[in-house]
Amino acid sequence: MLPEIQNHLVLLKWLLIVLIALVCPLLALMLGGTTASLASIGITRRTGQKDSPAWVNALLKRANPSAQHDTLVVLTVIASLLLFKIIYRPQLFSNLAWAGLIWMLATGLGLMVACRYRLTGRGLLDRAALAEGGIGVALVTVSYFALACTESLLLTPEYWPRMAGLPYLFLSWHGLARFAEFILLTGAITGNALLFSSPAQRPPEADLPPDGGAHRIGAWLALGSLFLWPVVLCLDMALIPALAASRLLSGLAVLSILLAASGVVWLAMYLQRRQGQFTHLFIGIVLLLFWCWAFMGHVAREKILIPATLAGLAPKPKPDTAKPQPDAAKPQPDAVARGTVDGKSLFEQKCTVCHSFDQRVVGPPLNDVVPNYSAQPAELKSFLQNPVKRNPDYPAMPNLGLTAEQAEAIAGYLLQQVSP
Amino acid sequence: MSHESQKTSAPWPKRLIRLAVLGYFVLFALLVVATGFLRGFFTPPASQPIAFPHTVHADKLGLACDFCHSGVEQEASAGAPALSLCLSCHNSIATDRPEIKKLLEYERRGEPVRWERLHALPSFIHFTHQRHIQAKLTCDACHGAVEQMAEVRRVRSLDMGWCVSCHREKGASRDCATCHK
Repeated sequence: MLPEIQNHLVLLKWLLIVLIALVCPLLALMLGGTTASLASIGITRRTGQKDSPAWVNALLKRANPSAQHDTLVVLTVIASLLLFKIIYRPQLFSNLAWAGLIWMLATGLGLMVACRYRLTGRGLLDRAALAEGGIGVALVTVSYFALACTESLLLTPEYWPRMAGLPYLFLSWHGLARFAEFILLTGAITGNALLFSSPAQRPPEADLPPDGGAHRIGAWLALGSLFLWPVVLCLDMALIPALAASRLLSGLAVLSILLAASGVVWLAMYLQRRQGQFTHLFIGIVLLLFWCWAFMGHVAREKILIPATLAGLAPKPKPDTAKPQPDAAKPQPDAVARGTVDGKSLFEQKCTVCHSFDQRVVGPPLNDVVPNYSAQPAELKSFLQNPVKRNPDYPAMPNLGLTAEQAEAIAGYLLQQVSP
Repeated sequence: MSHESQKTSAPWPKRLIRLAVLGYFVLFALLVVATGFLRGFFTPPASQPIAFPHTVHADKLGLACDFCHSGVEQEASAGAPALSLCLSCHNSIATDRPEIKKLLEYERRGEPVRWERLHALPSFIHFTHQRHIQAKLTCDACHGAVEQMAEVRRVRSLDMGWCVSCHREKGASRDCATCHK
């Protein structure tokens, strides 16, 4: 079934891009929204206040709308991971490793949603719910870190067969940079949610309402994330494997810096005027930044993971086999149909470029030389497998890497053709 | 008067901050471009003087790698084929094709074909093909499926971590002097 699916690689790759573009912002909002809410509740508890600001409740609901939403995110992540395995490398990690990652992510997201229901239902200072949310955030963060490193590992395919012996390769510096980028994007989208999703929507001309500073926190969180973006991006570009990089990738990196700059300009104007003009523009900028980042990952993978690169990496059943025998693994259609090797088709494919029966091409006319072997077909077969220069008037015949069966078939066909 | 001058000078700090922010992002955009230049992201892959199709010779015709790269089993360098080897067939095959005409032109001028080296290692590295072939390593382990490449490209990083990981896996020596001169 897998080879059939792999015939539609272009379609599968587009599907993967769409899934990543969908799931990353959702995952980031869930992670960032829950973290910001838990942090605010923690601060409230420390200061001895009984209730957290109202925006915390709203943010929790926006970040984790429902268990169905959570299920959809988990299913999208599972589908993306499955597509990674199908498209790029089925044997990259063991099924146990993939299952462990998915379990960790699903459990983390489940705990975050459970925490949201408990906090919004029973009151914001439920200690058990806080612990639940904290564990959920930690699990999702760890699983995303593992996913970021996995994505980076994809860019160094030469290490894949050695993974079993080198688990430390799982942690890569480039993976760390990609993870840091995701955290910054999480900061930007959470800041955006705080800015525009808290209940403190107010007329533009009004002063900041008493919303516990949600707008200010959101604006500074987004501003800080966007400011740090170019630094981490430079680190990414310095660490990415050279064979995965391209002009397009550099262009996308510059585009993402421009997007971050435009986000900062918008936020500065917002903070200065304290009014939310063109709110959707900022949301659009953050989403575009997310998609640009996801597309950068795709461009890097496409640059390096071509079939010719992947060849030679699959674990070989018999590592002591000698040189590759190109045609041994590629039986001719006729041969497959009859279960034997067809000498005529092999001759036409391999020999006619240099040989003709009745005239000199590169090699001698076959009608002149093949009859010499009429009494020794085994010698002709041996010559075809290991050709040696016999006649100084002609160039040496190359070794075509024929198998014994192929050489026998060609020898049989040649002797049959020249026999009187 | 002083009040007026205060009014006119007030926007300057803000302008400076705006300029600094703009400069910050422009600086990093330039840094990304500079990193690309330094790491060769913008350098087009080296094109060979003659478009030699491995897809025809190694895949369709099934020529063994060492037919052209004859040093691979006995020497450090696999070597590029001499012009005479190409001409042993192409003096009579496909002589009307543009790339073969180029080949014949090289012969007429008495010039060797200067192939671009894609798998160059630093001068302080001592690498031999011979040892690796003796260790039963197949060509595609380091070069990928060359027979699928219309134009050959490098597919492995050839960096030290890659070499060491393979040496570790195969139980080969990891002594510094094994590879470093």
